[in-house]
Amino acid sequence: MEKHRRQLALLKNISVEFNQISILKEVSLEIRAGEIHALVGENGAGKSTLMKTILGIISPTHGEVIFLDKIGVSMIHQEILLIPELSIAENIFLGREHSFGFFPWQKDKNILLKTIELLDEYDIELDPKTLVKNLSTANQQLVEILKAVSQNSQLILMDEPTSSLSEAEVQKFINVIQKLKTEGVGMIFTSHKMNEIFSLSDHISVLRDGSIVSSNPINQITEKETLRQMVGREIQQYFPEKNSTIGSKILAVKNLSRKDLKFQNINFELKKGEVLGIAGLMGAGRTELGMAIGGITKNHTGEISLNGSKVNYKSPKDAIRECIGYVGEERKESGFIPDFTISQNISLSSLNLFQKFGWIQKEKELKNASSAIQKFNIKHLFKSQTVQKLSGGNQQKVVLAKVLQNDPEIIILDEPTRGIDVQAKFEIYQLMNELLEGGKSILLISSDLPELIHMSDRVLVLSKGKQTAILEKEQIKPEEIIHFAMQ
Amino acid sequence: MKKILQFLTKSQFGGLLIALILTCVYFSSQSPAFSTLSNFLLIFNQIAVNGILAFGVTFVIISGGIDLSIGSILAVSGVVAALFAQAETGNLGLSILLSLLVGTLIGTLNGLITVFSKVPPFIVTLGSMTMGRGLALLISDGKPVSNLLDSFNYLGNEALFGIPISILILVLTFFISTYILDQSIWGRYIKAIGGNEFAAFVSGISVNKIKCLVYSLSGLFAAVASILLTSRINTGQPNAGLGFELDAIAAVIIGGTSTKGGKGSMIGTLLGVIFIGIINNGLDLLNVSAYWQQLLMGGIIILAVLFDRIYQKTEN
Repeated sequence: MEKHRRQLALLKNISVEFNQISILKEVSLEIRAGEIHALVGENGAGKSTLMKTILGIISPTHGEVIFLDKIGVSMIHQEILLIPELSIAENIFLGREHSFGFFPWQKDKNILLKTIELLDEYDIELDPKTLVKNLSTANQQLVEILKAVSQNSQLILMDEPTSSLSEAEVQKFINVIQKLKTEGVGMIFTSHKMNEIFSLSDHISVLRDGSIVSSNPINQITEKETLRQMVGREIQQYFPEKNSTIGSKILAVKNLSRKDLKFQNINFELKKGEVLGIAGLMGAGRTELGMAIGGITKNHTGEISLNGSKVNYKSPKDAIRECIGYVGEERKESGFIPDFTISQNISLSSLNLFQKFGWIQKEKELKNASSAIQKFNIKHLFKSQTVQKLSGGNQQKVVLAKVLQNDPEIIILDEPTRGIDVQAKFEIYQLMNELLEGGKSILLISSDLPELIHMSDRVLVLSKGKQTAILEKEQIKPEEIIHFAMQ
Repeated sequence: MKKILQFLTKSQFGGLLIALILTCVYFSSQSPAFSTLSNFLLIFNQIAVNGILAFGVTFVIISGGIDLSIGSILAVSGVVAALFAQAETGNLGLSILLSLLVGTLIGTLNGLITVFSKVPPFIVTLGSMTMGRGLALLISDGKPVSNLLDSFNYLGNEALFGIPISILILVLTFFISTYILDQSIWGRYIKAIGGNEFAAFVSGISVNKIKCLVYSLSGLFAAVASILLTSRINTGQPNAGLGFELDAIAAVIIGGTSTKGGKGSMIGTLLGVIFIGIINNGLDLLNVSAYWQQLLMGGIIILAVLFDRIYQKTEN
C-alpha cells in the first residue's frame, strides 16, 4: 500500500507566461503513484499547458516541477504519434532495437516475443505484426500506452484520451488504465466527459483561467460542484449595454447536415437584430456549421433560406453577394493577407466599389480605408504598415472592417475575441451592438462562456455534431450550456 | 545625391541596383568596348526574349505557382507563327494572331489542370513542358521552318527611330505587366492569393479563375517572345527555347520576387533580366569561357536569394 501512496512529483507555484499573457498562475499540485488524477476545465483554462509543463516541453516562468525519484514520464497526445508503416512491435520498441541482440533476425524475434508478453499482460488481443496504419484509433492509442509502459514510465499524461473512442473502446481503455493503476503507475488525464471522470479518477483538480480552483479526492466533491467551479467565475469583463429590438425572421436553417457528419440535422432561425450564440466543446461542429452557412464549405445537405427564399451559394463570393459576412476562427489563416497594408486588406472583399474598368482607384480606396481605420479605431504606426505587424486586436478589427465593407445583413463571428486584449474586446462588443441596432443579425460562435451568455439572445448548443438544445434568454446559464454540451 | 543613396539603401531592390552599378563599373574598367551605346543596344536586344518570358512567369510566381513550360510554349508558338508566315502563302496578321492564341491556350490548359486536378503546378508544367516540346517537333516534322515573309523578319531585326523593335516590345510589355500587377484588380488578387490563398478565397475572390489567368498570361507572354525570336532567326525552330524557363525564373528570383508567392514586382524582374544580360555580355567581352559563366551565374542566383533573406530579417 505504501508503494501506492508514494509521491511521484510535486508542482510548486508554477506560472507560465507567453508574451506577458499568463496562461498558468501559481499552480501547485501533488501527484501520487497509483492514482488517476483528472484535470478538468473549460477550453483555454490551461490544461494542455500544465501537462506540457510537467512533461518538460514548456519551462515554467516561475516555480518548479520536482520529481521525487528518477521516474519516466510519457504523454499520450490527442493526435497519435506512431509510425503508420511499421508494425505494433516495431513501433513499441522504436529506437531501442539495439538492446535486443546483435543480429537483425535476433532483434526482430526478441522484439516480437517481448510485445506478445506485453499484449498478454494487458489482455489486448492484437497481432504484434499488424501494421499500425491498419489499426483503429482506439487500438493505436493502446499501442501508445504500451509503448509508454515498456519504457518503464511511472507517470503517464493523457490529453483527452477518450475523445475519439466509442463506448466499447472506452471500456477496453479503462481496463488497461485500471491495470496500470494497480501496478503503481501515476496518471493524469483530461476529459470533457463528466461521467467518465467520476467513474475513473481518484482525484479531481479544477483549472479555471490558469489557476487551480480546487483539488479534491473523488469522494469529497460532486459532479454538480465540479461544473460550478469550472465556470463559476464572477464575470469580470465589462459588456456594453445593448438596445436593439428583435425584428422579423431573416435566416432559416433546416435539416442541415455535413456529409462527413461533423454536424447533423441542424435547425434554427435567426431574426433581425438578434444574436444567436452557438456553444459546444471542441470538435462539436461549431466552426464547421459556421463555415457551411458562410459559404466556405459546400459539402452539406439541407436548406438555408434567406428572407424566406432558399439560397444555394457555391462559394464565399456568392455568400457575400447574398449579404452574409464571415469572420473565421483563425484570423491568420482565413482573415487577412499578412503582407498587404491595412488599406489593401480592408478593401479586399469590396474592390468592385473602388474600380473603373478593372483598374483600382487608389485614392478612393485609401480615403475609404482612412475612414474605416478611424471608425474601427485601428491603431497603427504608419499608413503603409502591413497587417502582420499589427497586434491581434487590431488585426481582428481589420478583418471586421473588411467584412463590413459589403454591408452584410448576417454576420458570422467565430471566436471573434480570442487572444485579444480587454480594451479591443470591449470595442468589438460595442461594434456588435451597433450592428444589431442597425437591424443586422449575428451568429456568434464562442468558447468564451461569459461572452456567449452576455451577448446572445438565444444559444444553440451542439454536442458531437448534434443539436442538443436552443436555450432562450432566461435559460442561458453556464451550467445549462455545459450540461447540454456534454450530452 | 543623398536621395539617391537613400533610395539605394532603403528600397527593396537597392542591393540589386548596387550590384548592377558595381558590375558595370568593373566591366567598363576592364573593357573599353563595354560602355558604348551600341553595346548597350546589343545587350537589350539580347535580353528582350528572356525579359518578356520573365514578366509572364512573374505573375505565376507571385500567385504562388511556377511555370516550367514557357520554353516549350515558345517553341510551339514559334513554329505556328513560322508555318503561317511562309513567304509565298503566309499572312502576317494571321500568323501573329494564331501564335498568340496557341500560347495563351496552352497556358490556360496549364491553369485549368492545376486548378481542377490539384496536382502541384511544378508537376503539371513539367509535364506540359515535355508535351509542348513534342508538339513543336510534331507540327514542324522535326525540321526548322524557314523561308518566311519579309514583313515577319522585319520585327526582330529592324529599328524604329533608331531603337530596335525588340527593345520597344520589351519596354511595352514591361509597362503593360507593371500596370496589370500594380494597378488592376487582377494584380491585387494575384498578390492576395500568393500571400494567403485561403483568406483570399474567404474574402470572395474567385481563386480558381485568377489562377487560370496567371498561367494564360504566362503562355501569352511566351508567345510574344516566340514571335520576336522566330523573326530574329528567320526560322521557326522546334528546338528553340530549351532551358529558357530556367533563365526567366532565375531573373525573377534575382529580382526579389518571393518563390513562396505574395511578394514581387515587375521592376525587380526587369533589373534581374538586365543584370543577367550584363554579366553574360561583360564576361563575353572579357573572353571568359562559357563554362565559367555558367558556374558564376548559378552562384549569383543563390547569393541573390541569400541577400534577400538577410534583408527580410533585418526588416523585421
